[in-house]
Amino acid sequence: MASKDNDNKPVIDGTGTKKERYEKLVNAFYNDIFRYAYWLSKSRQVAEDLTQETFLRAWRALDSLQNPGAAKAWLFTILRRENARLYEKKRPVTDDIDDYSVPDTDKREPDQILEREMLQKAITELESEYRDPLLLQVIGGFSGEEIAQMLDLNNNTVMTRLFRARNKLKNKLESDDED
Amino acid sequence: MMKDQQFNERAHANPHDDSTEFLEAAASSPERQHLVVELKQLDSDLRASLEAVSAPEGLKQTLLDIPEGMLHPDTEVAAANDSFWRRNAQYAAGLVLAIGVLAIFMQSEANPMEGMVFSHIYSELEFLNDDTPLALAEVNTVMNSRIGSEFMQSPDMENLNINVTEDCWVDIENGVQGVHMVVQGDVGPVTIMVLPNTPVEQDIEISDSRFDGMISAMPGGTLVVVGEKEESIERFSTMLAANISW
Repeated sequence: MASKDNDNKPVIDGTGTKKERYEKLVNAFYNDIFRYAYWLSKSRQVAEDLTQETFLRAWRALDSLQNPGAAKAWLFTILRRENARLYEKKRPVTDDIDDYSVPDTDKREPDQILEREMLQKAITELESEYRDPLLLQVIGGFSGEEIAQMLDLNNNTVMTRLFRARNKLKNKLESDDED
Repeated sequence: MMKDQQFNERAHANPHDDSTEFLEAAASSPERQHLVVELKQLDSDLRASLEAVSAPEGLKQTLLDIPEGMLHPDTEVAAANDSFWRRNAQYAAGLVLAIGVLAIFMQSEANPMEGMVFSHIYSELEFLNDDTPLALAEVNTVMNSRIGSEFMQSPDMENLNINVTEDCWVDIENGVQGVHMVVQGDVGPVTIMVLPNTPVEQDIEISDSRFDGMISAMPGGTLVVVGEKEESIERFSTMLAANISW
């Protein structure tokens, strides 16, 4: 797994009480974890449940985390497992992303809002094999090697999938523009 | 000098690549520079679109408010009556749902390891379609580097059609790294996981709607074998167990 969190300084370093270390993880990563859960599950309710479940498991297992510098990758991996487990048992209802618009507090021009919604629609329509590494790269800020470890793929496969993901997005947006 | 096709692929895979090789290749032509600018703009739009989603108000506090029963596991039974729940009634429904989901998982699984094994397999189903042959020596290189064990060079092992050998994080919660393999069985692909720890105390038969499997506690670790319903799991499990040098 990754040797450090995405920036140069690990969020936790093994010092402090378990509760202090946990609080640092929540403060640093809860929003990214929620976002990743949302784009994986395509539902705010499921994303909220997955985020809670992820941190619940993280709390329970925090003392066994062998490399505190890789805590972010660890949390994202727990989340992926929880999502897979949820889908294995029962496919959740994912109706609240059907209009491809998500809460946005920006005061943007209508064409900018339209462009964003087109991009969000294009992201949700990507096959998961392409969407997953792209989300990990853009939301998580993980390197190709880190993504490869998280997805149990080799680095070349990840880079190929990232290439295809952006290529597909570009083609999709260009074809939408022509329509 | 990097060829156009290679540059194109690398730029799409990571337009923010700051390696000297990539930057020099980008600087070598206006077209390449334009492509990088275009892809960085796409990434900026992509990031803005993904980050337009924010966690609900109150979620962070919910996560931070660890129930007293979890802070002190010996009082976990009393958690339902703890003041945490009264102080945070507005979030209780969400937490109860999450715990309920967890409870359903726990009720439906004879052992937590069973759920972890199947989750791992379903999250990596693409492994089952890989038919690239691997030599036993390559497998043992991975085995040795990850868990310090290897398979014996026996006729049984040499005849095994191994297609995948990767790191395995099935036991992620305990931070234990193992090895994940896929071999060809009589019916279809068979997943094998070898872990250096022993999360189970005795052999456990596992199954779901598609797969059957066996989790075997061994003197030096754990062996997991999972295949299609008609597969002879026991044959693989027995053969592999006899051929691992822990």
